Amino acid sequence: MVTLWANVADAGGHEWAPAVVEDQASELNPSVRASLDHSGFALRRARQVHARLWERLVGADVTPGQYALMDVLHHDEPLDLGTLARRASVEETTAVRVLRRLTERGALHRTPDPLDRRGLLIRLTDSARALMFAHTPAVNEVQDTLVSTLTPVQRTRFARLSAVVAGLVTADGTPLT
Amino acid sequence: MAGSAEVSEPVDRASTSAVPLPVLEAPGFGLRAAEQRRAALWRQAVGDITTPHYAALVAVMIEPGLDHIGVADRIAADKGTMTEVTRSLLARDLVAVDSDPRDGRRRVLSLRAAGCGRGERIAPLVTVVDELLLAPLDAAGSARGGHPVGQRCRRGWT
Repeated sequence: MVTLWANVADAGGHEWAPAVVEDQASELNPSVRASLDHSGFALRRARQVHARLWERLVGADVTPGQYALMDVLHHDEPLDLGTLARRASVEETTAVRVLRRLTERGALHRTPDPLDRRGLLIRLTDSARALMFAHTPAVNEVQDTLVSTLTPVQRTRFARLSAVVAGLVTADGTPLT
Repeated sequence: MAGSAEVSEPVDRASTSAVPLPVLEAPGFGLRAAEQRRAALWRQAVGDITTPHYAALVAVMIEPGLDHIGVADRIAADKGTMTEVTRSLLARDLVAVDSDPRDGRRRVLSLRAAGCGRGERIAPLVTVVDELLLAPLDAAGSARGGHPVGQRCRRGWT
C-alpha cells in the first residue's frame, strides 16, 4: 500500500518528505530518522496531487466532498444524514453545510424518515443528477490521471486498500457503513 | 477475489466515460478518506504540531541553513502552507528565521533548542501514527507493502 501511495506521490514531481543527507546520516536522532519512514508523508503528498488534479480538471464548482455525497446517493438512496456522511467520508457538520448548499441549488430532496420522526431521508433531484453527470467525465479523468503510473491491478488495489486504511471497508472488502 | 483485499482482477475503469464510479472504486475517494483518517490520528497522537510543521522541523534538523524555499521544497508545501508553517514555528519559538547576510532575500531557518527537543519527542509518536494507520491492513495479509520511504531516504547517501 505504502508503495502505491509513494508511486502516486512521486508522480507529483516534488519531494514529499525531508530526506537524510549523507553528512547528517550518523548525527540524526534515531527516532527522528525512523520517523522519516512515516507512510503518511507519501499519503499526504498523494492527496495533494489529487487536490491539484481536481482543481485543474474539475474546478471549483463541485468539491470532492460534494461529489462524493451525490455519488453515494446516486448509487443508494434515500439515506439518512449520518449514513450518507459516513459513506461519503465527510464530517457530519460539513455534510449539513454541503447539503444545505446543494438543497439551495435544488440538488436534493428531503423527506421525513418514517423510522426516525426527527430525521430526514435524502434523495437526489433530477437537477442534482444533471449536475453530477456534468462533472463525471472530469472526475473520472482525475481518477485515471491520479493512478496513471500504476498497473491496472495496482489501481484496483490502490482504491481498495486506501478504503481499508480509511476504515470504510474491512480487509475482506465488506463495507463498514 | 472473494474474502480478500488482494484484488487480482483489474476493475472495468470508467475512464473518460460519464458513468459515475461507486466511491469505493474511485482511487481519489479512498485516498482522500485515508488521508482524513491519517490526519485525525496525527492530531490525536501529536496534537498541535501538524505534519508539515514536523516535516519542516526535521528538514532544518537535517539541513541546517536551508532557506524557506528549500524547506518548502523538502516538505512539499505550497507558498501559503509554508508561510503558515514558518509563522507557527516562529510563534512557538521552535525555529529562528534570519536574513542571509550574503543575500537579503533568502530567509534562513535554524532550529532552536526547543524545536530540536520538540521534534525528537514527536518522532516516536509519528511511528505510532504509522502503526495505527496501517493496522487495518494487517488483517489483509501482506497488503501493507514495502517501505519505499526508507529506500528513498537512503537514496541520498548510498
